Amino acid sequence: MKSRLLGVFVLAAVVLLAIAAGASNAGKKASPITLTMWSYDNQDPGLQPVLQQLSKDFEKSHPGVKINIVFKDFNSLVGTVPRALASGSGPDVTEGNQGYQTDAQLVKAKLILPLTKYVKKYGWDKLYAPSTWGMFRWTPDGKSFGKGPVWGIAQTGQNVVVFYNKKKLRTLGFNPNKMPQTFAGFDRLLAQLRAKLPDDEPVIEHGNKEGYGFIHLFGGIQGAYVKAQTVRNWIYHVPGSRYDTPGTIRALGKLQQWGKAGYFNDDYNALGYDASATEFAKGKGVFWMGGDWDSTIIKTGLGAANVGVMPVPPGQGGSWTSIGGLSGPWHISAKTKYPDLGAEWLNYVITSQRAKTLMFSQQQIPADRRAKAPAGDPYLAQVSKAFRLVADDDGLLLYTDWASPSMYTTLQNQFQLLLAGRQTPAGMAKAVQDDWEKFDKTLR
Amino acid sequence: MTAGRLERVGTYVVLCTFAVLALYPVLSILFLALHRKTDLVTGFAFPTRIDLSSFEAAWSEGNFATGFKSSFIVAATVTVVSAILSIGTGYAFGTMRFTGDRIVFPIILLGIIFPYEATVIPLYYDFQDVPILHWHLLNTYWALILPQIGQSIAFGTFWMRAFFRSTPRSLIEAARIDGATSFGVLWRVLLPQAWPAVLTMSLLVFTYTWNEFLLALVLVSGSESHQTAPLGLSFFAGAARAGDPTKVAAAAVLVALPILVVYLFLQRHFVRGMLAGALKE
Amino acid sequence: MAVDEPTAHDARPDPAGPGARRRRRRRRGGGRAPGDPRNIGWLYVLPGLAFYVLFTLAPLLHTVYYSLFDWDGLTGKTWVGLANYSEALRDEVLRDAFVHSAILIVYYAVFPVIIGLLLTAALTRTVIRGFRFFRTTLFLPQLIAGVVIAQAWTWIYASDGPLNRALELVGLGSLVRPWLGDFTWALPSIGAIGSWVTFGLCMVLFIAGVQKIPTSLYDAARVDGAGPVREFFAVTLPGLRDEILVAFVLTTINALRSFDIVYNTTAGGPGGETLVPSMYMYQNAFLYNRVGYAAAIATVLAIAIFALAAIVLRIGSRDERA
Repeated sequence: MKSRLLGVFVLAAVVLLAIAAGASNAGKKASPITLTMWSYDNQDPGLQPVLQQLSKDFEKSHPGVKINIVFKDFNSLVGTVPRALASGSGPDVTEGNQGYQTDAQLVKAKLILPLTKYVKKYGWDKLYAPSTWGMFRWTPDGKSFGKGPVWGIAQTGQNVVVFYNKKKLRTLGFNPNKMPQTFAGFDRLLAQLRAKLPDDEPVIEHGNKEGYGFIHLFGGIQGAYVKAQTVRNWIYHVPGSRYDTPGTIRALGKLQQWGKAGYFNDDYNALGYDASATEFAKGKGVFWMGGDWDSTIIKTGLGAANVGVMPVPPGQGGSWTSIGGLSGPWHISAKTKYPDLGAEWLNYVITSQRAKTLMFSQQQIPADRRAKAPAGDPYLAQVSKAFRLVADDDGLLLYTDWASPSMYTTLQNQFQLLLAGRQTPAGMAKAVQDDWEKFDKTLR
Repeated sequence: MTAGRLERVGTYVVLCTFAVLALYPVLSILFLALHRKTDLVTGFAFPTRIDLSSFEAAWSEGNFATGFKSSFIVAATVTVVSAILSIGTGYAFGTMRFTGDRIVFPIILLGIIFPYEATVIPLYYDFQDVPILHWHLLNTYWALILPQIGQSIAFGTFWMRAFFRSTPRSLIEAARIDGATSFGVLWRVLLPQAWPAVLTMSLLVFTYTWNEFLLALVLVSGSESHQTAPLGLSFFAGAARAGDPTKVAAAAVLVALPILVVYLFLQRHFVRGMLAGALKE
Repeated sequence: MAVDEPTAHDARPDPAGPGARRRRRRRRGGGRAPGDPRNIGWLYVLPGLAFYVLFTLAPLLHTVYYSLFDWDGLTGKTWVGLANYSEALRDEVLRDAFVHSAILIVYYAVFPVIIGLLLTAALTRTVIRGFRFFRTTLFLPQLIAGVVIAQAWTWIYASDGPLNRALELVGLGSLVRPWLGDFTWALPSIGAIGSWVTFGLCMVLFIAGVQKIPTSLYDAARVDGAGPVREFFAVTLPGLRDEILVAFVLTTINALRSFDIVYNTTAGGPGGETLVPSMYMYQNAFLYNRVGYAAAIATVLAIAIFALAAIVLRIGSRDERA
């Protein structure tokens, strides 16, 4: 009897191997046509419902086509997408990330298609200002950022701004309709709020768990001390660019001083970025400095009438700046069977009127500069104005982690050390510049 | 063995304390999962009522039907195949002498302390484009099944060898004298007795394979249809925790559930096997 | 668990008859049935061995091969010889990662062995009601996936989570902090998770080992008037020497390998305070596109693990001889 059981065992092994083999083959697509998209715009409310709805619309207008849109968090997506694309069974269309860590690799390894013919076909050149296209350009060897064909296209304008809790400001005796118009004034306001608030309440609610929280927040401060073009040049590896300039060092010092003065909640390293926006939306802190892609989360919690939005006020240079640019670049896989269909989907979610309407309804700013915000939504108007103020002053700093494959990690670690008091501003600036220079050598 | 009253009480206190410590983390996510998204949970989060909506949300949004299917196919295949192979190797090392056995067995034993993390890089590139055969096995079940069979051989061999060595020689002798071949001895004499050991080994291999993460992260994260449950949980937690910790807790409970259920029903075999088997030398 | 114990084969009478000995090449009797060719054992060993070599040993050698190149994994390889290793030796981040692992060894190995011994003593001295319940429960953490453990403990360590709440309730509110985000406490916090995971394994190993200790030794100790504590140190502990050794080897290796939990809780942060070598290898291979360097890290890690196992075993056997 027992030997019969062993026979069953062996039979089970054979059957399972067969299933495994069959299941593996079943991964291949039959009809209908299925396109898989990967995105990290997973804020809900926010862009996630927009993309999901647009994909459903696309399926309706394209019978026989199924759109499978997969949302991952930023770190997971960026960490797995190069290999996923290389395997040939990964996504057909996916977001990447501008800069040397992700997009340069994708271009160099020929994992994505140049979008030149689609730009021509759909007239995408009208979407953004010519200088904005720079962040999508690479020479095919993946070495020169800002020149060469276009490899990606973005859906929304993105910007790191200051959200403020109007009710709280009034309760503390400040007028939310008269927010400071200079960085110095903003800095003073923070100090005044710290003095008035009870000790266990933060002035600025912040979440740095993923590591990019402070990169974003600092952008607002850096812009007050340094010209936007200087930072952009450094990101693009214009020879001779430096991070460790007196302006940047002073800005880092200012951030560290904010930390020492206790402006932030003390669990920022354990709290996620979007989670901190949710906390702010529940009433914690007076300010939240982060991406406008979280604007819907904040509005949902605090109510549109209660939230104000503005970019970090200008420093002595006088121009409005902020870290930001456009949203993640969408790419078309070089191994997809349906590049044209993918491009058509991109065109739909970026330029169609339906897309723009949906984006605005979630307080997301379409990247298409021809898009007009509908009247009657004062909150949306604020978010939109915050973006346009900066974009028009040519103040978009882009994101400093684009500057080398390891820059993201370097900045993450250095910011955490700086805020913990274990690193000096000059020390951090040097560490960052060292990373830049080590990588820069490989580009020459 | 008798003991004073004080000692008995002290013993129970110690045992109960650690039992609570062992259980609490699992209970804590269970409690969290029994809440609704809107409950704004903090602290101990004892559920005042049982709400299963987070489980439903987690199951559908986390694509766990596929995750479970993938995990099951991989774990079951690895378990069955490695059990068969380990019975073979254990039998050979446990009852026979052959050239080189003294060199090969320690090499296999090395697998128990082996740094498997150090092998994921070549596994990735070799599965992406298999040498000579030019197959593309990334994002398939094979990519997870084949290496994990290899990884289970060390433990399985050790386990079955220990069992076979502990069987009375006389049984084997008798069968041999009757003219049985080596296979006959295995099939008719040894295996019928081996069921507890094989079952325990299979349960452990199934558990370790089900729980495997790094291999899945590197080899199948490109394809949602082949993701294992733990990998799916990792992605789901990253994407959803900010907005809804109860949903993520529910997903975590779901991923742990199959193993826990099997363990609770078969825990006698788990532990009996461990007590009776390996260390009886 | 001696590998080289002589088996009973040596004493067996040769089934083929006394005269057969002269015809055999080998002096000792083999496990061969009459009629089976020699070395039939290989037939049983080969399939399992093949899988093992193909998917475990060969890839390790392949890793060493990759470590000799500078490679981004996507385009071509460049030979650099041992340059990756010299960089690894100078790499402070890698050095810190190993220091973190060394610290984790205390949590993954030392504490669990001690706790395991304690629990074993508690469970086996007398007849305990609910023995099966305790044994089942205490072994549970071993069976839960690392990702699930990470979710559970992230919640426990959360700023508004159970641990901080408990501290507040007992008046230790000053100790409240964001555990996994704190520079000093993130690594010990992860260590505590490790202790929680492995103490059940140690306990089960020791319980099995205790069954082998002859009761006569305990009786003798009791006759000498030994109380529970002295009994433990005089009889139980020495009797469990082998099991303690095995426990140390397994748990120490575990500490060095920890990837799942670190990746899913802190991802090496804050500021790299919880970075471990396996995580660093993963980052280099798959995030920074430095596959050659990652392979070098992997090789160093493999060497460290084998060396550590050898050292622990050497210490163990030296004790035995002394």
